[in-house]
Amino acid sequence: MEQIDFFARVLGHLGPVTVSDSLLTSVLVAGLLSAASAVLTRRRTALPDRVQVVLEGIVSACENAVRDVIPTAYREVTPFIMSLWLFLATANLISLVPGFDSPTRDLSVTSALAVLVFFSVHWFGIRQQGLSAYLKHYLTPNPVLLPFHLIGEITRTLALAIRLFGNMMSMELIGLLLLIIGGLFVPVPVLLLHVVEGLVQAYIFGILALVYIAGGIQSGPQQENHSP
Amino acid sequence: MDLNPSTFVLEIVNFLVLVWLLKRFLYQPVSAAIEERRRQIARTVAEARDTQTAAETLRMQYESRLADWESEKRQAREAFKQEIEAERQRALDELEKALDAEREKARVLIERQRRDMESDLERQALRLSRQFASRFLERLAGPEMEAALLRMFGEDLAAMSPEQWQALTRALEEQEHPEAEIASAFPLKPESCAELTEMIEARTGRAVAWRFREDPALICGIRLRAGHRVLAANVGEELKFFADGAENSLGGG
Repeated sequence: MEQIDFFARVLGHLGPVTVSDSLLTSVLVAGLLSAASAVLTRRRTALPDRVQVVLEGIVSACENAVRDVIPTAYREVTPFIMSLWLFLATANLISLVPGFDSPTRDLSVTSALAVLVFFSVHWFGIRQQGLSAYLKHYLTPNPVLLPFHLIGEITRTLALAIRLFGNMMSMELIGLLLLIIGGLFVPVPVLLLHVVEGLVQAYIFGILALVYIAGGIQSGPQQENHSP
Repeated sequence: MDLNPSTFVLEIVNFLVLVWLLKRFLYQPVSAAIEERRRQIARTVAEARDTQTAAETLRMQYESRLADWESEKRQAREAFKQEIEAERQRALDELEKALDAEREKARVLIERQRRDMESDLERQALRLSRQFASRFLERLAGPEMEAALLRMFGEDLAAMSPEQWQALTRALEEQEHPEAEIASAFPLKPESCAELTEMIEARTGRAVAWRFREDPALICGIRLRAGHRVLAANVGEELKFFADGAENSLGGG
């Protein structure tokens, strides 16, 4: 039986840097999104055309979702969350294009994104509350809970990375197995499910990141304000 | 399934660059466009609200002005009605005055016509009476009546005042050759003629050349003409004198 290289492939080395196909695909997706944004937003008019309406719809939807959760700092957080959603949705669905594999099947990519979320939570929290006020929430309601807070920070980051990786990897694995077992057109319904799954996983990753960031922003003084 | 550190680190860099690029090329311009449109809509709504307020103000002003106009119109109509009433009253007064004047004029005219008619009737009556008296006296005229008139003429001469005689004398003296004419309706008897001439010459003291003639217009009686003086006692001239006197009295009335 021919061995199928399912996981990320190393394409080469540039000195100490290892170049994998998932990294290249990630860069390609990022480039595509950036180029499309630069080109499509170049001509803006007071009376928007269809493309502008779609772009405004995407941005407004993201902004509204973030504003509903973080009304005070949505302008700072929205670009990050919107980038996560757009990147993950595109990266998850790019495997439908023949010759491309989803970069989110690579644990290195999902871990990198989860770590970014981890740091962004602290970054936005400290920016909004200040360092001491932000760190203080780890000691509330009781300093004894500090280890649990730390464990929670690590585990939810790991969960973010593993959830996305596991779902996307398993989805592609199921499709590959069906292709091997059933033939050329058998995995088509599963690929349709893959579309939904990719979008849902992107949404879940983004919304969890948003909730974590919102928790970081609102954990300190606001919790104290709301406490009786 | 190994964690590739290069991929991990480069993916972080890749995503941070993507965040920056999307913020720079997608989020900021599109948000700015949306914000600009929101401001424009808010401006349009504010302008529409201002326009509505202005329209409402204008409507209220217009209604107020309409009410003022209505009031002014009513007042003007009242004033015009009063003016018309005054003008009508003035015209009626003038008409009444004109009618009174016309009435007075007609009354005066009718009065004058009545008086003229009465005068005409009186004249006519006088003329008729004169004609009647003339015809009546013509029928009565005769030598006897002539003799009576001659006698009366003689008595009148005898009864003349000295001033009257002086006047008769001056009338004769004004002529180079004093002459006088005695006219009668019937032929005079010579003794009557002589009696008359002698009395006159005696009283005037002048010798007069006498002429005698008959004049049927006298009807009956005698007439003496000396220069510009005339002495008469005849029916024709008396009737004429009577008629002229009556005519003059009617004309003067």
